[in-house]
Amino acid sequence: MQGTIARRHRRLAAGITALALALALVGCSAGTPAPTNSEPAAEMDFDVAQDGFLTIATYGSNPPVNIDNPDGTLGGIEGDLLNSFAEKYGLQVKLQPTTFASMILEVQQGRADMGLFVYWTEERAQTLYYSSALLKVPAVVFTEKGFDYEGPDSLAGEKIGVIVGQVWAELMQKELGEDALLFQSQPQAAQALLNGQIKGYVTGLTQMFNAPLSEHQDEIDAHELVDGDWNMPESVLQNTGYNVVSCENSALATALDEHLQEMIDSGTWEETFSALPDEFTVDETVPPTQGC
Amino acid sequence: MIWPDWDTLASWLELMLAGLVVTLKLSFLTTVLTIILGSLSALGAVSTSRTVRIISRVYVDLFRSVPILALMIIFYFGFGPWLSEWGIDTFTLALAALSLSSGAYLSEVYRGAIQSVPRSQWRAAESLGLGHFAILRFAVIPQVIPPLVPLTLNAVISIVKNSSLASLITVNELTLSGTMAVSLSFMPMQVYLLLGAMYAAIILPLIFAAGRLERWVNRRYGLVSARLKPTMAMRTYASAAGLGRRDR
Amino acid sequence: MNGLDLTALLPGALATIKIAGGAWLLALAIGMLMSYIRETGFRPLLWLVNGFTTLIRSIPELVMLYLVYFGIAYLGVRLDSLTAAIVALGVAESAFMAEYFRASLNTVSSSQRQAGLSLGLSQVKVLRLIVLPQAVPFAVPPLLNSFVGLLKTATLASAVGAVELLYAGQDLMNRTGQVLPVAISLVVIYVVATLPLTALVGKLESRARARASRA
Repeated sequence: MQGTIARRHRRLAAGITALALALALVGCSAGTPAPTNSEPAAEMDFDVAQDGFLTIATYGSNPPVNIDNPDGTLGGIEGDLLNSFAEKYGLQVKLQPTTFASMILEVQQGRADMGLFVYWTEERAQTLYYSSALLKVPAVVFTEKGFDYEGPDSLAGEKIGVIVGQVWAELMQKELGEDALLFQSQPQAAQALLNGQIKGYVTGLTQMFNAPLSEHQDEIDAHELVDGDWNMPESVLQNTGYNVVSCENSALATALDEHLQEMIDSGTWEETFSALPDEFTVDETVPPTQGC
Repeated sequence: MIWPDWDTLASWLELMLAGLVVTLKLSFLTTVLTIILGSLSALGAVSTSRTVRIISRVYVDLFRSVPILALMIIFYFGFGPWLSEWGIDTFTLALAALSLSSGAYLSEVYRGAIQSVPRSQWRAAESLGLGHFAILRFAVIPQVIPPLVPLTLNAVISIVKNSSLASLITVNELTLSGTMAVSLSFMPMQVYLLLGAMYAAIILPLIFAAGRLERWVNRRYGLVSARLKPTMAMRTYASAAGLGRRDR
Repeated sequence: MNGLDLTALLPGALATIKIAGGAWLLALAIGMLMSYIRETGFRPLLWLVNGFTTLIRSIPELVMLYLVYFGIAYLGVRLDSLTAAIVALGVAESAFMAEYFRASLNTVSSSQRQAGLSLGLSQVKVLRLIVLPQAVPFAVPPLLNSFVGLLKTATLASAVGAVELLYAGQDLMNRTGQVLPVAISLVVIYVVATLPLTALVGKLESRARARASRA
């Protein structure tokens, strides 16, 4: 068992170096604005919250999935997908920063058209309509560098941070009670980890590349969670992310799925993915079960 | 609006009752500390020592100026590395921020009350040979305590309300349990209405008690509380007691 | 502080002023309306106003903000976070405003009103010529104090994603990693912004009291 964790840990470290390189590439490609073509915009059969904009609720960058650039543009894999999608319909991508728990409400309530990279749960499916699967991201527990992590037991009795609304929050709270600290936002939890106020921080690996952790990568370690850690089912450990829209606006998800299919057919989607390391696997699963 | 089914409602209540216990605990401890801090600082403000008066003034001005939420965030994220070394958890931090802030307000209320006692009474007591502390202890404080009871109760009301801010620095109290319930069920209106009702259930009795007590004090100690009425800090809390209701 | 750019806080500070100012005006309007209703003395309306103010006072501002931002939106009225903060804080403050108005109107004794009425002045004229000129000096300090309070409660807007001063400060902490310098800057900004106003409130108040005791 211990061997497995150690091996996983090594693999993760190697992947992270590769990912840093990949991010540089993805970041570059996202930074260049798409050339404006004079093609007439495709006809929209979905609604948008604000005319002329594709309003996207985001809870911060999740490199390489989505990178929220300081100038308000979207980068990362989501950038590749959504910038070209918006352009096709004559829309402009507009980021609406919020917290994770609020993001889903913003989409449900129609303040934003789309939420980025959300896992599937039965409860969420009743209020959100899911797009096609994008990719899988491993769940990790971040610790400070050099912490002798040998599974959850090594963190017994310590405070562990989670993000309100993320799938791990409820499970960790049930398991740890008041040792699970519920943070409103990811930068807050990351800051608390860097401060030494929490000993572990459970979230997706992508946060490694988001500020403030991205600035302190040499001070932290990421340990991939395995089946049964804190009694969590495997389904929340290697989880597939989807973009979500409100139930009333499912046509938007359908249009996005069509666009994604076009990108896959033309080979551009493969280009986007080719630079990614193993940790982020492309998900070939069937579309999620819609609960709307 | 969809109404939650019984299972959903039960899961909310389970979360929120656990949160309610933390809110009550946090509010109670804050109240105790606030009264201690407020009293000490008010006594400091009327002290004969200039240094003590200055310390009291700086404390009051500083903690009255900085918003409680900013205090909490600054304590938690700003001074985090040191505080965590001392094993201070977020509950304690929230308790400290709430108490320091409410204590500064209450200090002004108490100081105003002490200073509302006419100088003539001080001089009369001095002529009897009483010292500074003896005058405070035997002449001043006994007569200002009754009118201060409803005003302190109003501070408690503010404390319970402000304790909800602790949710934003991970203290798992009532409001955070509500936010959790929303993040699991996505019925914000229903959850937050229930949350509001739970706060009202704690605070409404306090508001009525404060109002009753104030009317009773005014009847019984009319003169003293009339002197007290216009001090500024009191106005911060006065509203909660329905200031001026007796005038009708 | 190597190159800590505090100008990044400026938009946040502006938002804080907008929230506090907007909420103050809204509270003023609702407060005036409620004290007018109280002055008319029509019982059912009086009960409604008293019930409303008591209920408002029993709910934390943060919960009120969540109700306005997420709750009402759930029913279809979508306010952006800045507007939601103005509405929630304004409504919460209006309950207190109504009390300030009542307290300051009550500083004018009822015998003066009756004297005015017996001289044949109308209710409105009594209010305008006799009551208000005496009551206004008493109302100004608490009204200013309420604005100072709102400058501080505006921090709550960060909880629904409005980029006010505290949120801007947290963002700066995250981006620069200069946590302590930013934290201290925030404290200084709040002290500098509110302390002189608080002192002014105290001064205006003692002046109003002195004038009242001379009269």
